[in-house]
Amino acid sequence: MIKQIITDDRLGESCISALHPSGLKILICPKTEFATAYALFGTKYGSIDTRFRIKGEEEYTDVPEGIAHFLEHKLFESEEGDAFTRFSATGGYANAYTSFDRTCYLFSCTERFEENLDILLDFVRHPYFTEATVQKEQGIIGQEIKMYDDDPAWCCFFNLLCSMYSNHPVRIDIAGTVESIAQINADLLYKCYNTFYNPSNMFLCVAGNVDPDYILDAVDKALAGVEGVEIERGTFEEQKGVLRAKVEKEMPVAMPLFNIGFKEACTPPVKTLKEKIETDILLEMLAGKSSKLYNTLLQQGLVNDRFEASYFTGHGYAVEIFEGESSEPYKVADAILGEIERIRKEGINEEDFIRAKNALYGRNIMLYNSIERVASSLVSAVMGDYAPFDVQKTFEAATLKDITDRLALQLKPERMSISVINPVKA
Amino acid sequence: MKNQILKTNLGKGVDGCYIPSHRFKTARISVTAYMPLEKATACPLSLACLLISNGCKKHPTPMEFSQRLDTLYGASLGTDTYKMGDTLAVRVGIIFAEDRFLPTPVAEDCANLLFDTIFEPDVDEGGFCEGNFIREQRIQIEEIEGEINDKRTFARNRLVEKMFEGEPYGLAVTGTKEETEALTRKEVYDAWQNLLKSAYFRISITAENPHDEVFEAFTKRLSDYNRDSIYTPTASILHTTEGEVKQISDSMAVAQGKLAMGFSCAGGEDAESYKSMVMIDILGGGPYSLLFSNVREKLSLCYYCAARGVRKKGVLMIDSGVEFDNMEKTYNAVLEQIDLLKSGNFDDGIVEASKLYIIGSLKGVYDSQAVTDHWYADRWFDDKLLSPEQLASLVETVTKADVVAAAQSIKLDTVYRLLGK
Repeated sequence: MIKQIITDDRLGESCISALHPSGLKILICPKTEFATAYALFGTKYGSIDTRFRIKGEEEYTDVPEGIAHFLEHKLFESEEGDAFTRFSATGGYANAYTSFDRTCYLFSCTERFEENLDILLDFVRHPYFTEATVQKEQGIIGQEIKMYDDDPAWCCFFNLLCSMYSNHPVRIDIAGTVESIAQINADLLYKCYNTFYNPSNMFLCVAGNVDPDYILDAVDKALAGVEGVEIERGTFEEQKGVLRAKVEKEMPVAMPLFNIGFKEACTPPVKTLKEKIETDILLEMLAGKSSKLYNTLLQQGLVNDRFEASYFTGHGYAVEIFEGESSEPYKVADAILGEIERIRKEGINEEDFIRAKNALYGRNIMLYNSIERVASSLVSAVMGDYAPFDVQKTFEAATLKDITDRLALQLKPERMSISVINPVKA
Repeated sequence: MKNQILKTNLGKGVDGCYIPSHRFKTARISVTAYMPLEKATACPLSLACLLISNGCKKHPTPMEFSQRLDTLYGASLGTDTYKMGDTLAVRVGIIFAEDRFLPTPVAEDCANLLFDTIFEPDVDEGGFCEGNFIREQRIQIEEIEGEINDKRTFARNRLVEKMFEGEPYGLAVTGTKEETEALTRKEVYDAWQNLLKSAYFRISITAENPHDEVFEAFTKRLSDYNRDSIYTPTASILHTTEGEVKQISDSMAVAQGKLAMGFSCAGGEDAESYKSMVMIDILGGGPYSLLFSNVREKLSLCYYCAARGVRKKGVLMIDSGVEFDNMEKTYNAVLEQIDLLKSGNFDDGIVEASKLYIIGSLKGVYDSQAVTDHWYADRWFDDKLLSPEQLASLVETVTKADVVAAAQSIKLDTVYRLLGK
């Protein structure tokens, strides 16, 4: 096993990075001063992986929307019982989540870490699907889908993605639809499992009160002799511009909710850490709580304290999103466009840049307070293909020129789309 | 290092609490003011919290205030109000990176900023400054109206409102839209001044090293106020269920129905309440619970069906999101699980699983500064202030017979249904 120790003296943290012969990536951040340990065993497989083949196969396989999330639910079951019951016997809190580009199985515990880790490494590698258990899950996930159907913020976000992307599967709801999950069967689940749940496409990230040597040994035992596969993901032609400039929907809400997005070109398909950090700084300066834009809109009564901006990006998609609640969402969009234009003309204020950079730097230090957030940051490092602690270093290295250069490539008015959820008319 | 806290009385109606926290990168100072929960306090103090968390005399606008926090390396200042039984807890706190991680120290400036927000808000002779007042009044109204956006929270709040109708615990912690609209900037300022005069204060510091100077600075500033009459929280009145079950429903254009059920049960601040805590967890806590394993997994009726207790009021609440057509089936299934609990007709292993889970969670309390602070803030006036370790030892002793005995007190009180249109 290839292994290295990465340290950050300023933060007082260190991390073990290892690559198992099976291809599994392992990151461990021991924090023995804490009682809690948190482990995530994940795969680079999410809702956007709707077309794929293993290298050597002739045809691509197209799968129903929501199958990655469905598989996540089903993996907890085995012929002998479910994984929750096993964790219940060892006091571990188990859960899982699926996002656009990953599925993670996790547990946290304050006792019996070794037993909990063994359960995690075992149940994720032993799928058990039958038509009867698949059918049972359709009822539960059907209710999960309907719960999100009533969530205006979720609907506003997905309506935005659907109005921005014409082909990329980022426009698909992570859980799929009641109709699409009805097409899922045991064979399709096995097909997806056998493709994406290979160690060469997976990672194990652990933080907290743990012994790294035990973890590496446990992985060795669990994955001995497993061979890697090479996955080829289907590509989707995506236009530069947005599909629609606006989309509206009515729901039972008190006042309109909005998502305003700016689509960014994705060639190459994945943004670097440098690009992500610089965008974070840019958005903090542009729309953070200290910004001129936010405070002007607040004074004008056009937004409240829920207004925020974030960078949403993954393989083949990148959008700067401004979201909030407003009685006049289109006026907010005009104000955002006006402010972007002003900054382009006048240049970025150096004082604003330093303040935003310091604030984000401090907030990133705070991340190390939470075992859960440290473990999640390790997952981000694996997914983003960078080393732990690089985030802090990238914040420190960012210059005003970097941000100015970034602005030149982003936030183009012609690639803007707005999604609004309006209150149901009486 | 063994987890411990240092509790100090700093004067009449003021306590200090130092929680050593060598494991964190940040320090946290929070001030909790305890006031009676009533209409005259909840709404104006919630609005006052919005006002003071967005500006003070030295940094009067939200922009200046926020920029000040940015220069303190992203320090975060927040306020909240919440119900602690029949007491209203008002919390103002600041969290900031410990000086050893920063190019320039910020601890002293952060403590001063926190106290400036509490003791030197931006006011004139008419109360809070008008521009700020109008803005934050709008934001509070939008927050109250926006409750409808989250249907699960909306259903839970409607249940509490109806179950505790006419009682302090039934009040919304932010007040109503109408109450907020009727407030003047002078009334809100007067409510804040009244808090400084009459609240019981608890100032808590979680940091690597003690900061006695922060305690001293706080009491010095508080000494400017005439604090002859101070509210001291007493044990909350436990909820009692009498007469017929209250049935309430609303209709809305939603895809999924919500079912929320409120029960009275054993609890309160007495020495036995930990048994109820285990009982409620077995009913609807983790994946081992009766509601999860039967109502969700076996019957496939819902994605979530969970129980939670309100210790200080002696109640438990169950909520679920279900198909409209399955509403009654779910209602009956929930009651069946309670019957199983009362009759002891459940696997012994669930008791052990629940105890393991609860004890594990209690051991993790000190891994979060906020959770540790909330833990002690919520129990500060209990007859015996239990540490998480002490509660874990009690939970360890709970038997199946204790669980079944605690379950006998469960009585259905109020049912809320959110239906479609």
